[in-house]
Amino acid sequence: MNLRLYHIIVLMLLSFIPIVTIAQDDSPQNFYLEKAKQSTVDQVQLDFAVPDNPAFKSLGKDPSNILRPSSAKDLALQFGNFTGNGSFIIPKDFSLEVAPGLLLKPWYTLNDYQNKSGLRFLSKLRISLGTASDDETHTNSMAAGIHLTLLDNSDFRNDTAFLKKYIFDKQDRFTISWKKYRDEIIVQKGLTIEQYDALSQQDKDAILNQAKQNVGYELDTIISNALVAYKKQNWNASKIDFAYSLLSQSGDSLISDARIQKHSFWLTAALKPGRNNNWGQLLIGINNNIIRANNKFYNEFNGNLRFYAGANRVKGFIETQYQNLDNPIERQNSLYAQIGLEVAVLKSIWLHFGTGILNALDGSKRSELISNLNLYFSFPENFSLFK
Amino acid sequence: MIHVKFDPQGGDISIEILYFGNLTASYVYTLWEKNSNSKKDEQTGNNQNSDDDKYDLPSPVSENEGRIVEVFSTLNNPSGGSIEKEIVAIRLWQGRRILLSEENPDGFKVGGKTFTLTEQKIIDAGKTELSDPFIKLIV
Repeated sequence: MNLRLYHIIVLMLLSFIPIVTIAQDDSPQNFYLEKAKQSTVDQVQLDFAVPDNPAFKSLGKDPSNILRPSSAKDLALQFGNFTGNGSFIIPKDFSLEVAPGLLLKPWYTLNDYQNKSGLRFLSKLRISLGTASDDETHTNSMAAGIHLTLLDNSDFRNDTAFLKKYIFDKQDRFTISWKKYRDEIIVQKGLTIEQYDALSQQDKDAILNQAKQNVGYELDTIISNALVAYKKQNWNASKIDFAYSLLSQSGDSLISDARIQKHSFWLTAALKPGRNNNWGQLLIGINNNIIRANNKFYNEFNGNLRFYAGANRVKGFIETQYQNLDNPIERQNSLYAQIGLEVAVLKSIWLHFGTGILNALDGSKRSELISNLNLYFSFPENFSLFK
Repeated sequence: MIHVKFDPQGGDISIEILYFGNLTASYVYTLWEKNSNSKKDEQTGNNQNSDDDKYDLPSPVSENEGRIVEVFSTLNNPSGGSIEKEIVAIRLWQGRRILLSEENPDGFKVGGKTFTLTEQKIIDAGKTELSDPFIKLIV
């Protein structure tokens, strides 16, 4: 998809976004709300990304601090801040997440993968790096993260009953038939197997294609349909992810005086509400940040509950987030509640829109309406580093 | 086609078929008669369970001279994600010795193990690829 089409989609969505109210209080107590507002880039945040990675999350681009469990991909890119001065700009926020185990030459069998939990854990381990720059403060941020999947019940490769019934049984029949018809053609042509092997690849392909047509059905379509049905049934399967990220900041572009500013930890469980449920998913997440301020570190704790309802490609959600900020200058508890929608507009493009109200629990602030729009982009099928 | 030398006076020969990677694979193993299109043996299987993918070649061992081993495999990448690699790895044994080919006497290495023949395929998401290597047994 080209950039122009992205712009059209985004502009269409922007027209539906509610007006965002911004508090004008300049008191020191405004610290927390300002921080939250910065996280949403004051207006509407537009990310161009695959699902959450810890390095990008620690750069602070989302009012919700939950790190959604996701499936490992060999490579994921995430860009942010597509807007500036009311127009689209080249994003300066960037992060990269790689799963090293998926980039390596395969060294294990499917059977190993299914039977060795340590191997699955290693193959799904992801490392992320991210950078961001702030034009106003001239601060450059760098983040590095590690993302671990502790449980993933949506992994069809580990579902032996599904594989046997919907893939292996069909693939076995297809393979046996294809080979049988190929052998018949070889006999019809009076070739020995050695003569067949000596044919040019083009001649061999002609025989193989003819044999495949004789099979009479497309294996790829049958398996693809089975996978679509599996995803519909299991999009809400239980998962547990853990992540850690380290954020450092520097006042110059050469990053010569970079200092550690934040350690972040996330633990999130995505739970299927009922064994046969295929319309809901509950996310329970905790996030703890240890943040530097005036050469001292203070603690920020976030607890999140999010509930999705819908289907794989269209679902709504409600969320509440409790935050405890233990900054010695200002200790504060707040609650952020939002509702939103997540829609797959195209095969590899997901839109995530949320709007919510931020409240300081001690009543010292005005409530704020905060909206965010995220555009998640997963690489097109058939993209790979190693082709 | 690669050529693998064996000892006609030696122990029994067997073939082991393994698949490295996350994809699904089904195969038809065929032992073809010398200079013919008739089959001495044919077995089918998949990579659902690696334990049952080992077959003995007929004895007496010397009669396997000139026969051709074929492993006709379909490799399916069922993921909705990206291209993935899969390696078909074939090991011929005579007794406890791995038989290596004339073309590559050091064998092929995958996952720290040595194989008689390996073939790596890169398969598009949602697609099926064929791997169809041939091994001629010689003395």
